[in-house]
Amino acid sequence: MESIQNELPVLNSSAEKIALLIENMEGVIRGKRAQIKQVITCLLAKGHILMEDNPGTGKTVLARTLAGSISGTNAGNAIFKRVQFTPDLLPMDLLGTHIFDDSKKEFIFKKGPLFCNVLLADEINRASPKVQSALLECMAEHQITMGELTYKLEKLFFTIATQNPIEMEGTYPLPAAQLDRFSMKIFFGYVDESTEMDIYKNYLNINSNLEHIKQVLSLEEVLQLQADAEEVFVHDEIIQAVSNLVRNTRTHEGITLGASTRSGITFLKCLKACALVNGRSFVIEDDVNEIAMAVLDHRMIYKNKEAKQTALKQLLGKEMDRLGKLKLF
Amino acid sequence: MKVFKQISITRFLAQVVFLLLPTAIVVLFILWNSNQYFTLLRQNWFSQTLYFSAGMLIAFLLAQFRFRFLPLFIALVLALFSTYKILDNYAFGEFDSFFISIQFLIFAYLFSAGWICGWFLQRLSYFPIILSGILLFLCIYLIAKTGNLTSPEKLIQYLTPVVLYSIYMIYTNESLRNTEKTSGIFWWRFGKRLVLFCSLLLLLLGGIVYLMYPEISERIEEYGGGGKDGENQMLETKKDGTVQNKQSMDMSGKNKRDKNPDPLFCAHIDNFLPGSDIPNPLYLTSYHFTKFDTLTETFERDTTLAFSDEFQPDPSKIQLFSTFKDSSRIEHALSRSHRKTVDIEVYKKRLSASAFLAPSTAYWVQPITVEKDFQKEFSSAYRAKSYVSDLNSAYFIYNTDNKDIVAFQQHRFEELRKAKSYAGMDEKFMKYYSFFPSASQYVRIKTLADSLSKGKTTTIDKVLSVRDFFLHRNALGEKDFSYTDNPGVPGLPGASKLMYFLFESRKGYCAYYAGATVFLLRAMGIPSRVVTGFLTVDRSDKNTGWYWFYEDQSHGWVQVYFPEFGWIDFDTTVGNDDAQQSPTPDGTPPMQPPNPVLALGGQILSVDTIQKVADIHVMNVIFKDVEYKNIDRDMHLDLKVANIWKDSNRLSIQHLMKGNIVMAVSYDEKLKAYSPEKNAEALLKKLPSPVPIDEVYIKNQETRNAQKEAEKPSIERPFTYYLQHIAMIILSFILLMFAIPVLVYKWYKYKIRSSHTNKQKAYYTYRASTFLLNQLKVDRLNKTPYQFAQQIVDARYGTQFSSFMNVYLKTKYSDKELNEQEIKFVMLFFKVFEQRIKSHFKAGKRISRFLNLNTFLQYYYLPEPENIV
Repeated sequence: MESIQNELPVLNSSAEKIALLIENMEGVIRGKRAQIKQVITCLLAKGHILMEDNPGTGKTVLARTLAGSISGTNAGNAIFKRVQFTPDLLPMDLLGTHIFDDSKKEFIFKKGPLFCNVLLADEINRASPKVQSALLECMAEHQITMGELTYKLEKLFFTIATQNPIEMEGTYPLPAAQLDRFSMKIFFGYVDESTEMDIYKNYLNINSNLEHIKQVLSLEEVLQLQADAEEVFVHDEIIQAVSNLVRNTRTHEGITLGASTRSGITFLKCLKACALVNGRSFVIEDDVNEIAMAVLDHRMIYKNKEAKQTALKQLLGKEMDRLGKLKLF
Repeated sequence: MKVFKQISITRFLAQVVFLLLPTAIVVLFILWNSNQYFTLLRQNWFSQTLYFSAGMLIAFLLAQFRFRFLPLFIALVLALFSTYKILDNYAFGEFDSFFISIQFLIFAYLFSAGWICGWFLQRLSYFPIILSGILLFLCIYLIAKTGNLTSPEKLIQYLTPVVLYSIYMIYTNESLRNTEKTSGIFWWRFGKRLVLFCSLLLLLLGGIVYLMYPEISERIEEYGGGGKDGENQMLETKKDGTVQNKQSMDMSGKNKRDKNPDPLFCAHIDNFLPGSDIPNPLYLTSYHFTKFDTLTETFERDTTLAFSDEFQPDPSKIQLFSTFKDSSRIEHALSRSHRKTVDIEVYKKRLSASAFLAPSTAYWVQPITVEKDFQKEFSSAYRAKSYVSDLNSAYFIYNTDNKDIVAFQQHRFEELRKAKSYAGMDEKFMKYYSFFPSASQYVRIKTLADSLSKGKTTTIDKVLSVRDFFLHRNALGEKDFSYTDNPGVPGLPGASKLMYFLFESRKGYCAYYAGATVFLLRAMGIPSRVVTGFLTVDRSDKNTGWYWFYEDQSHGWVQVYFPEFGWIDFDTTVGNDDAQQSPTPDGTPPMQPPNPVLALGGQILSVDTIQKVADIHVMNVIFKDVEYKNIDRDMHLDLKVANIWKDSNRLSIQHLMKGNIVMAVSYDEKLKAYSPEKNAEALLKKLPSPVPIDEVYIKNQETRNAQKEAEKPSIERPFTYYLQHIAMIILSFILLMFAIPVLVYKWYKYKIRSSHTNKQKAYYTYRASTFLLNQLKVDRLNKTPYQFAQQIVDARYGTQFSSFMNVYLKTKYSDKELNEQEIKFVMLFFKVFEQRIKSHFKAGKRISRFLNLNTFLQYYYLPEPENIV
């Protein structure tokens, strides 16, 4: 019996491109396939991603690799900016300032690091809340208003924010309302032993790889992929599952604050992108299983630690069970 | 296990109310029933239930607080045991210690049983099933013991509370355990327990019936059980108003001796003192009570006894003039000297038609007709022959002034003194008839027996010593023992009635005297037994040999075995000072119809009403009390002087039809000249033709058949019939239960074949494959179906399940149609997949896993994750 390919090449060109991107990034970041996929999913869903973990797990490298893999408008890389958030950072340092041009005798706008394609907002929870909210506003609006003038951000504007675990000293934890702006929050985690050995042995190569990242996608292609993602078909049952999940978080005993409708929409967008990343033109239950935690978890306020561990997993398990045993006839 | 589980008071109270209380009620029900039967328990069912409940409650509470079972239980047992030992040794009074320790023993057993129940109800989730099983077993055992298995109604009445309780317990226990859990899981757990319970029920029923079948079938034939207060303890009244001897003999309650002036029956006993015309009345025996039941302290019938000489035919089921003979009874009477055959005719008035009474040892019976003028008074009659000892007589205690009788008594004692010792007797026989319980409480009787038999060498002297013990008068000339129908009950509950009678109250009726006598005799090592029937009183001088029997003559007495002489009647019941004579004088005995010389049973072939002759196809012949059966011969009958009878109506010869089944009887003197032959053919050839016939009795075929049909369902059907049906239903139910997984799997496969659309086909393929995997216990481990297919199934069994899942998920969630390649794949997938999977599991493993209902239910109700808040 002839075999059927595991991944169905429904959208051949898109799937190939994404596969290429993933492969490219894996060349630099070892053993983080799941995280890479989630980052790309988030990129294609036109969202922003928050990565949380201890320093030194490869968050920055991932962001840089992503930016490096995309070619910019003028043959260079896509514009990659990195801002290290500190307690004394001011919103101006982020957005840019008006400075007086002596030659033209006028104030001209000096663009800040937000005017880029891929922004790495490192250790976002170290900055003051003022800076945090300025950044998050831009992420939502895709534009900056300075005085009377409004400046559009780049068409492709993708923020990768990193955050140290909030228990660490000198941090301003992001409020729940702000966290809602991030489509996903992922945990990086340490790699397993064999991968880590591999990294130690080849760190020189990996470093050089980082210097010479291949540009595998153009900016336009990324934008096209984002458009493709929106075309992905979502079955009513999947929408039902999303709705159930979101609604159930509001009534669950262990959850004080449940998910909003906006988060439901974000969830759907991410699902579509996820399906595309997985090479499908339709969303399946596995997509839900794959990203539900990343999309919903950071939006919840739990009653206690135990609930944080189990509540959402329980709801998700129930919903997956329902989908798995769905009666079609 | 959470050791420091919080103890919720409401939960505990709920368990007490919903689990312990119903258990206590059912235990009350069972104890109440056992109290009706086991005299040892002394009608203390309420306090006994309290003992049980107390044990249960305390254990339940302790178990709740997480005490350890073993140390506490050992401590309890030790405490109870030492208390018992102290009670046993410490004498309060003469009997008190014995009675109190028995009481305490009951308390200890019930308390410990309650303890175990309470403990396990708290600790074991499946204990209600075991408990239900035990209670059911007890209930069925009790029913079988009390003989109520005869009627299905009774069975249902007894079993229903326990069965309902069992279902209730399983249900409630389950719901109480799951108070904080959601309901989905509850139902399959409940279902699982119910299935377990059903199979247990089946096993129990089957097992008990298998083990106790002889006892049960015996009980179906007879009805035993404890007598109730205020009834005649020796007689039972049947549904049609007739009476007969009871098949049980208890020392229980009051004896009501009916002073009904209407006699039950009358009998002619052809027995006279040797060499004189002084009638020698003989007691009429009905049943033998040979086995002593130490539990109930009663003597019981033992119909399975191999060497029994009890002769109990049912005269109502024997054809008129037909004979029934059992010569093995004569052999079992084990007597060689001083024996003769005595004829007896019994004419029944209110005595049951099926009752049979004759002096010991009867071996022959023949139903006879009642003379026409007496048919209104007497309903039926029979003749019987008994192999009777010369030395037997009703006179034993009821002394008479008649010199001849006194002389006869002396003579028979002298004769019996010549009897040999028991050495050389069959060991089994001796062991059975002189069985004496070894329990410590009977030592006192043994001591008494030894003191009575001291210095006595012969058996008869030992018997007389017992008689004298009962007849003994004290220094003031007052009787030690007296007769009463109301012997009362011992003041202390749990006491033995026998002990109470012998040592304390010293009054009772025949059952007490007979029971105590046999006890004493057996303690002396003399084979003896209790028999019941009627005592014969010679009141009339007018009609010698005729005796009338009233209800108050129903009696129990003793038979003692003497080697060579056989069983001899002895009556040790002391005289009743109140009344022994019946109030009315005896009536006129019925005219005895002449004894038929010849009786021909058969079918009429032709009748000539003018010539008054008939032809008959003879099937059985009775000639001079000898019956020849299975004859195939035609005879010519002379009916010139014959009377034709049907249902005691006299008819003309015109009513005799061809095809009638008749019994033709002849009293002709000429026939008496013929001697009986060994062979019926030879005899019939000798007889004159046509044979002169005096009476022809036409059998009522229709009513006979109707009777038979009416009897059948009520007698043969009841127990096994209902049992079989119940068993079949439960069995098929269980078989069906276990076949469900296979049937469901087959159904999915059928649906795959019969699907019309690709989507349907893919869906049912998905269902069938996941069902198969689930039933074979390939665990999904909380993975999504696709992950499961890829990471577990394909990895382990080398199938292409994940490829299929791709296609299936496309049909499920996509808006696009399948392409040709995918359709083809779905078409071919399942067969290959099934083979692959099957090749990884051995056939036996597959079958055993497919029988597992648990995994089957799991396929539909996955247990929900724990909800920890």
